[in-house]
Amino acid sequence: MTDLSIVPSDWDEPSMMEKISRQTRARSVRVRDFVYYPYLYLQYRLERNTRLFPKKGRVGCTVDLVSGKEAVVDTVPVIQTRTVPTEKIIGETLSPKTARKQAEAYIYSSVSVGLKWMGTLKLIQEEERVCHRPFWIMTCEWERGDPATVIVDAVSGRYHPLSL
Amino acid sequence: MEFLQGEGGIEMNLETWVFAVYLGGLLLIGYIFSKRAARSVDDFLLGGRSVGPAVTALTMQGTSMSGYMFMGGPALAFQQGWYALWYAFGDAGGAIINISVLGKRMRRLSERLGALSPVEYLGKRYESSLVQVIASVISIIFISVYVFAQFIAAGKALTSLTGMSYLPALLIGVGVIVLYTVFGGYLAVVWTDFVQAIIMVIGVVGITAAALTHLGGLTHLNASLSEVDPSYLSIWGKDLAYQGQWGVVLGAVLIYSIGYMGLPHVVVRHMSMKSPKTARTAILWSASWNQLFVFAPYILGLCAIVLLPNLSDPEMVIPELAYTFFPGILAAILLSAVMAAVMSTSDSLLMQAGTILSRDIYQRFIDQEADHARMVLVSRLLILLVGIIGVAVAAFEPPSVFDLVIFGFGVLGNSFIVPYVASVYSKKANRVGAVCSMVLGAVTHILWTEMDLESVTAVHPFIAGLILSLLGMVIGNFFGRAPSQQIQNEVEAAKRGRKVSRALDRNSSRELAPEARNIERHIRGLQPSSGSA
Repeated sequence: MTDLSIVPSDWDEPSMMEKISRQTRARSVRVRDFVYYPYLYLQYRLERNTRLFPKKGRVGCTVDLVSGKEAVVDTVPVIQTRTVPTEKIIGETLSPKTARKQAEAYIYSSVSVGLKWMGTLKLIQEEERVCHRPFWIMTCEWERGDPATVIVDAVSGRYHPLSL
Repeated sequence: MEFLQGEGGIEMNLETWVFAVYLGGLLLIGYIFSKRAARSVDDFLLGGRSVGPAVTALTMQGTSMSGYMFMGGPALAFQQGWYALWYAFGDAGGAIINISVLGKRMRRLSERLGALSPVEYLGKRYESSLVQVIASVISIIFISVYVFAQFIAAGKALTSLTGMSYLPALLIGVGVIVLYTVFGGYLAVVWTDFVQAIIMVIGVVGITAAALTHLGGLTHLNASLSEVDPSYLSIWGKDLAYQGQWGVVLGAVLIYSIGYMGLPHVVVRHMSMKSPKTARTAILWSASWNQLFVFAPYILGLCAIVLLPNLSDPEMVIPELAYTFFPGILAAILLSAVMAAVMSTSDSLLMQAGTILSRDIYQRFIDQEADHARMVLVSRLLILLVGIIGVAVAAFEPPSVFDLVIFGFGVLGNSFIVPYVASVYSKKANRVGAVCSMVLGAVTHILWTEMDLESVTAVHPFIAGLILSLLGMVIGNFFGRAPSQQIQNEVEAAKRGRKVSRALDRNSSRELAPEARNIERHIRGLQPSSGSA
């Protein structure tokens, strides 16, 4: 068992299974397993020093510590510590240093795209922590056709099929 | 309307004041939103989540309304009659065809390769930096061509508004666009774009309704067109100029459906830290808006044949009709919105070109340790260069907005369609084929247009480019290494599809593809793939 910082789920199993069953018209949905997926969460204070349009604010970013994909987050995550089975944790392959560098480059480009503005920004890192998101692995069956295995993000409720 | 033939000097007429107040109002809204500091950055990055799908969709529609829609499209219809609608069909139906035919496989392969933009996708699929560099360079150059068209539209809109002559209007328009791309960005505020979109939508629909009512409806419009010249009603253009030339018609239909693929789609990936409440209805709304508005400018061009028979500059159809049917102040507000929309479109395109140069070329191949300040400098220098060349093009021998946009889109389409299609339909398509295909497609389109080979051969430059690009891919594939086994496997897997229920495929979240792939490997007892999914 391992102590892990996790983003707690917003869903319980029955309501998630009901949602997937309704949306995918599956005859049955059952939970097969669950895993914890690692991300580096970084929070920055942002300062844009122009006299006409000064802009300050905070922006959060996650970097997937396996594939290196970055994302801007919508709210500061609530993180809890829990003890979970070690074999349920997906291993990290990206170093925090590389992830940090990627996050900064991503924030710079996202902010200039979002603000439609090509200028220099000051990013001040305020927070950094590794956190894990729980994913269910569920099996869906239909009246006709092959069953499918899906991963379900227990925080957002979004899902994606696996090619197993 | 003597202000349309201004002889230089800025007269502060009513329209000039309206324009000044309009831009001042936008600045004020931008400033107020900027002051809401702590929340505004999130709002910008996450696309104004608080405003709902209909507003978001209308805002998207507003920002996609460019100089082409207000000047190029109506001008073509004014000159060629119903033939111009071929371009509208391509624009309206192209996205649907793309999504349903080519889109599925490309999306699957794109997910598997972990590529976020079309240019990145080509680089990963063909395992070649050269492919990515060539794609980037073509994108930068022909995005710039598209921006030049916006510059000309800005100059003309400003001329029509203020009464000043074209050259100073152009210099002011381009100067404002370049300066505010570098220093401003205030128009990015979602509510500012929304206000503009509302004005433009009401304006265009209002003029179209007024013009059609005045003419007694579509049937009477056609009767009037027939009296002026029956060939305006033909699908082959005025005086049946393109009769039987299916190569030209096919090119007109395909150009918009395919050209957009060369535009870099800079995607900001979002991660929800709580259960999201928003649905995907914004995309549906946006598609509906597009279907509604894509035909209106062309219809206005047709109305102008009857209503404004002595119009000297066909690109002034909408400004002239606005002053014909609306009181001066409302027409001026509409034209101010058009001008601001042109600025907003140019700003986005310049930003994208700058980002491709700094990130995909400079940082990747010239200075990997380049910091943010250096990257911004590189982008700014490119924007300045595009501004200077754009002014030169627009000032000394200005082509029409329509010609420039069609040229830019045509080259982008000819460069990218064959490598895209081959990337998912042939696992043997390799990097040499991709390079030959892109270069031959682009060069053919440029030469075909410049040497006016269409009039000799009756083949649209787009079709000529497509054929040569295809030949480049076929012949190029005989040379160079075959794609790696891993890429061939990925292409095969993308071809096969997921074999899951349609409802599951439709509702699943594409953004979770990297996670899905790594969890799949975890379940199989394999090491997760690092670096890129």
